[in-house]
Amino acid sequence: MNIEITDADIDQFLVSYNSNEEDAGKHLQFDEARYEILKGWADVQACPGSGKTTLIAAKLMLLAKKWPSKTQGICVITHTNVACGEIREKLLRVAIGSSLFEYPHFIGTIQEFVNKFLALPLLRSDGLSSIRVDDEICEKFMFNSARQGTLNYLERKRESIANLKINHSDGEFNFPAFPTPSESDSYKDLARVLNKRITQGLFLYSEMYHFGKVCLSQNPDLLNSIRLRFPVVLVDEMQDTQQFQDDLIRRMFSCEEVHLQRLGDPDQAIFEGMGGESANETFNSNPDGLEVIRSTHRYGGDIASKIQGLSVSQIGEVDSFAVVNNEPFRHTIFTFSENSKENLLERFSLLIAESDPEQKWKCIKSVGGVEGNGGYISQYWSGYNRKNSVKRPRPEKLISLVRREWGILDTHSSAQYSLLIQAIVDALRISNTKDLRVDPPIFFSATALISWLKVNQKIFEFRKLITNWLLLPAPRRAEWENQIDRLCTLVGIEDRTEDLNEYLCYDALGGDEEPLRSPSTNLFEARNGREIEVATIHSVKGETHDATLILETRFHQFDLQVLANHLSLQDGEAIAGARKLAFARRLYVAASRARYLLCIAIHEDHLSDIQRVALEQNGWEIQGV
Amino acid sequence: MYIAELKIENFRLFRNISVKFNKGLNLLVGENNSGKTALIDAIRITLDTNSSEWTRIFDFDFHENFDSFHIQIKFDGITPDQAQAFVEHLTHEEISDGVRKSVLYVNLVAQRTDTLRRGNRLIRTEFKSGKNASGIQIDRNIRDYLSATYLKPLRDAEAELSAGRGSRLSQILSSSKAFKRDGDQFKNLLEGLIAASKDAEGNKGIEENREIISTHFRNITFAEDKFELAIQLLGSKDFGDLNKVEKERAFMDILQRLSLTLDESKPFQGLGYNNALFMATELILLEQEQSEFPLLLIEEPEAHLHPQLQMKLLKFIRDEYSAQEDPKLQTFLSTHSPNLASKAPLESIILLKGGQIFPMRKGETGLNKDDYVFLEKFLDVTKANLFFAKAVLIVEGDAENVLLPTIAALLGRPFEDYGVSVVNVGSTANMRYVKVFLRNEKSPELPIKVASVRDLDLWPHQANEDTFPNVGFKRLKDRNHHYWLPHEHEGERIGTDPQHKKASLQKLAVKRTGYDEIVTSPQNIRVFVSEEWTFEYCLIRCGLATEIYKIITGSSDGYEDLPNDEVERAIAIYGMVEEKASGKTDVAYRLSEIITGAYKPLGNREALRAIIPDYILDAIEYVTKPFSENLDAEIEVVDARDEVVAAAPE
Repeated sequence: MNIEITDADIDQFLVSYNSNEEDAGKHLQFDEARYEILKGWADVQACPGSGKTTLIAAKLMLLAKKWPSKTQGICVITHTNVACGEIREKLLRVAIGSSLFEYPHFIGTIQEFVNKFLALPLLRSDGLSSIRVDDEICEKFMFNSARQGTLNYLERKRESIANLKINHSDGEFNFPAFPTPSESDSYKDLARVLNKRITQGLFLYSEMYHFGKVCLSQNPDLLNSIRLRFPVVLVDEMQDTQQFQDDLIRRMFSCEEVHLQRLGDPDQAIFEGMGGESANETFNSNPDGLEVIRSTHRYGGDIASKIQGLSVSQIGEVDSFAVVNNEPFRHTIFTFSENSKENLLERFSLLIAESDPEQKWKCIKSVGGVEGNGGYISQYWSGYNRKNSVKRPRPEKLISLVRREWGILDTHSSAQYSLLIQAIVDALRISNTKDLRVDPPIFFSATALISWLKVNQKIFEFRKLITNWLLLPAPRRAEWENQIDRLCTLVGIEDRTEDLNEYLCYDALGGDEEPLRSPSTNLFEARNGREIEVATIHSVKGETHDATLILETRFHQFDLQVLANHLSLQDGEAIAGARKLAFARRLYVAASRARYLLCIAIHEDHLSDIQRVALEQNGWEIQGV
Repeated sequence: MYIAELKIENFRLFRNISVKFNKGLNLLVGENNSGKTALIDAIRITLDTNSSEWTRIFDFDFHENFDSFHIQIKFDGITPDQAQAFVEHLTHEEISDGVRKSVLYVNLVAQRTDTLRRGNRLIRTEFKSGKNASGIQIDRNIRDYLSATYLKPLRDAEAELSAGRGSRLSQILSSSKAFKRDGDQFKNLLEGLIAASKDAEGNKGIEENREIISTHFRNITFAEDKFELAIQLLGSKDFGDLNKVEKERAFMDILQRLSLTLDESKPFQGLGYNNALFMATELILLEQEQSEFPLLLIEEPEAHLHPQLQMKLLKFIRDEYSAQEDPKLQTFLSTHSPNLASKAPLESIILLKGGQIFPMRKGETGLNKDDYVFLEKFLDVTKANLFFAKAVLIVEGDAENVLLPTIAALLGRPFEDYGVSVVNVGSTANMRYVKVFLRNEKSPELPIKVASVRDLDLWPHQANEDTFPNVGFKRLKDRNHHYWLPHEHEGERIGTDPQHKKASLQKLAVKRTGYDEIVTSPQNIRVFVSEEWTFEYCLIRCGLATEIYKIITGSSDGYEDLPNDEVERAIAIYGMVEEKASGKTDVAYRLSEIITGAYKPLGNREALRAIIPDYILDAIEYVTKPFSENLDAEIEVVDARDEVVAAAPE
């Protein structure tokens, strides 16, 4: 397909878009690099705050306006449903945008694409008429179908029946606890269970990739049809795309007939290696092949110049569209000792008060790399709830979660569900109830609790209770007390401690209700009244802060110490080594959140004198705490 | 890409059928109420059409009392270029181990609900892909892509060709390459009309009238309402000032004012030529939209077309668009016309009968490959008749062709009352025609009774002119021994046993899946063989000897001089018939008149029955209904007509 976007198209688009936007602050403007990306098809490295989602949405609107076909479409592959939602929200602001969510176009995750265009049509072709793709349902089904002996065997081998599946890489059956085929009854039982699941049309998400590949290789015409259908393909958040997904995307769309454009930032690839899958190489490890947007709307040149050393792709100092302050903020590196650690957040709050005397800043965060597992965020603030280090912490009372007065912003029931499970795990902890299956006994994790419930045949009653809480109106007092009794019996809480009763008790809704918001138990309140949210770096990806304090944390090594030479621009070599790369990407994400003020906390022993001098030369202020 | 298969459950008269189609031409033939229109409509409502016809589902579309129907269309021969439009709907059909191809199933499921809307029960429809209709909903745009060009029967061609909103002519012209939107023709046309429009606006008469209207208008509206009345054709903007949308609107405006007429000086043409003209425009539209999926549905194209034009049309479609090999488009034609059937390749014919469907494709009939080749050559209008009948009588000569309808009528079994077609195929091809009606072992039996009437053709030894010079007219030769009835000849027994000959005449070489088979009286097919020699000989032997003698000689004179031996006498008379050669047909006609004169008056049926050969009686019974003990006592439901209509003359 010959579709061309010209400078004039972009000019016209900007005029009409901005004329419909009353808030001049939200007016769009594009520089030369962005014009080129809108016109062309090169892979794009978009630096933090570069407005990548806006750019993609703009490109889609430009394409939609000129789109000549009723049966060919634009394919947009996003990494998460959240990212898809962001694009959707932007597109729906213009009339033409909504057409992109309908036939013949596609906007969704790679998983959705594979399901819709490859795997499901193939499975239907083989006569399966009711197909469910859902990991949880599959697990439940297999658990129910397997013989008790088999489950016991897996239990002994500390393996889960959830791993009984078709490998998406080679299509072979994966038998948990059986690296090689066996004549044993358990092995045969597992084979039977897997076959039964497949004939029932129940599949795991990952298995869809296998069927997708089968479909492509068995029907030789299909590849051509897909290419003809989607002459334009955009891939968002490419840095988080795993290798097997990348392989599939390239197999389908890397060809002359298709305009394939991939956008992302290898510097921010912090989800690499999730779920044991390897990261893509064609994008993340190929910085030279990328067209770079090196200008940000988020932060000024003062921050840009200071964080460039952490870019694994060596993007260099990015340009800034951000309004330059007359008086530059005092970007500070706090050096601390073991004794002064706990004063850091207070010191940070003083700097905030000084930088933002009118208290305009709303989003101030302090972030660290490691959560749990010997992490060190809590060492900076004992109030930091280590076990609450998931993105959303949990409420003080279980009832407020069940009433959904808490965390109401989350509309996904799956998120509500995992919150509830976590809350119940908390209850077990409070009551000092431990998992006795291991020696010595330890506290239950969510996974351990679920598997314990399964083994003890209590899972369905448990799920029923949870489902009631999720779907039905909040219970009344009598009902609630009943339910709590049931819960305690189910999960084996024998000793109702005072703390536990406090956590599980019913409290009537007062008249003076708090405004509904997602509270954060990890909110540090400084003596000067400033609030600083303490969080992990993973949880703040994609966010924009007013001020950020990066806390040094350790995972085998101290992240900032390892990268001090790069941060201080003493080492011009590309960053190498898996751990160092992971540290650098994480720190880069953390350092690129702040619009105004960026601070770093590093142990005083972890900076050399040479590094201190270099950092000061680069505009950092260094303060001992 | 073409419709390979159609499955219907509970739609109109179809309870449950499945039929495969040709990728080129498909000619649906059958009597009234056989399901031709239902079949076309099944395709039409599932795929929708790009004509202005409204496709809706009505109460009467549901078979009997069923509350849902299901139509499934399977597309095959899909190119990647076509498949792109519905990748998510494809079914990947396994053609061999580990190798698949793209096919598409489009399912329409209609459900009659209990909700009433304007007095009718609301009908819910669902369009889904997938072999089991388990796929996803099919988007409107995909159905548009698949939509067919549909020409309804007895359409008002003149209205279709005339000006108006959405007229076919405007559609054709607007999609024509000649009117590229950035081309000169487009610009010239618009500029010309804009100039004319301005001209008209400036016209004194128009201007005066505009003033008058304006004055009256002001009188009845408020002073502060200000309007600038204009009388115009297109608006007054110049070409250069029109934006893309305005240009398009003006262009369509012009096109919709155009009508297509055959001859300007004679604006009102007969329906026939208008019809042809209309079809021509439709075919152009189809050609212009080549890149998409082309499907043409024509119902009864013979409406208002005389037979020669019908044949020309079919030949055109057959040769230009829907050749069996590599057709440009798939065509479905429904027809009552033997003319059309005679011009269509046998394989393209699909016979409909009482809610069942019988394609004549290779593999679905008992015909061998060379049978197809043979029949193709000899399929003329007369023989095409056999597709429209309830029962078929296949005969080998003019005498049977003329006399059997007469005899049947006189016996109270007029063929037209029983929908019997008599087809005279000449002698040799008889069994090939019979096999047209024979289905593959997997297909249901055709509900058409087929009777083939054949001559035994074994000569009595008295016909040998060497041994019986007074009556014989055949000569015994070495190579014709098998034509004689068994007898002693020079100490040697020669000839063919009538039982064997009869059995061999009744045998059919039938194509089965993977092998050939010899069968006798399969399915609805029966072969009736004369007891002796030929039809005429049997008539003479049974009791019409004097009548035939009189017809040939002009009087009964000399009849007494014939040999007393019955066989010899019959041979003598038959010899005279044979001698008349071309006059044989004449004899048949004369005989027909005579027996009609003699046996028509009521009360003579049993008398006639007594002098008609048994095998003829059996054949007539088979294609009509069994005779009762006493024919004269049968109560007439339908009186015998005065004239008996035989098959149309060849």
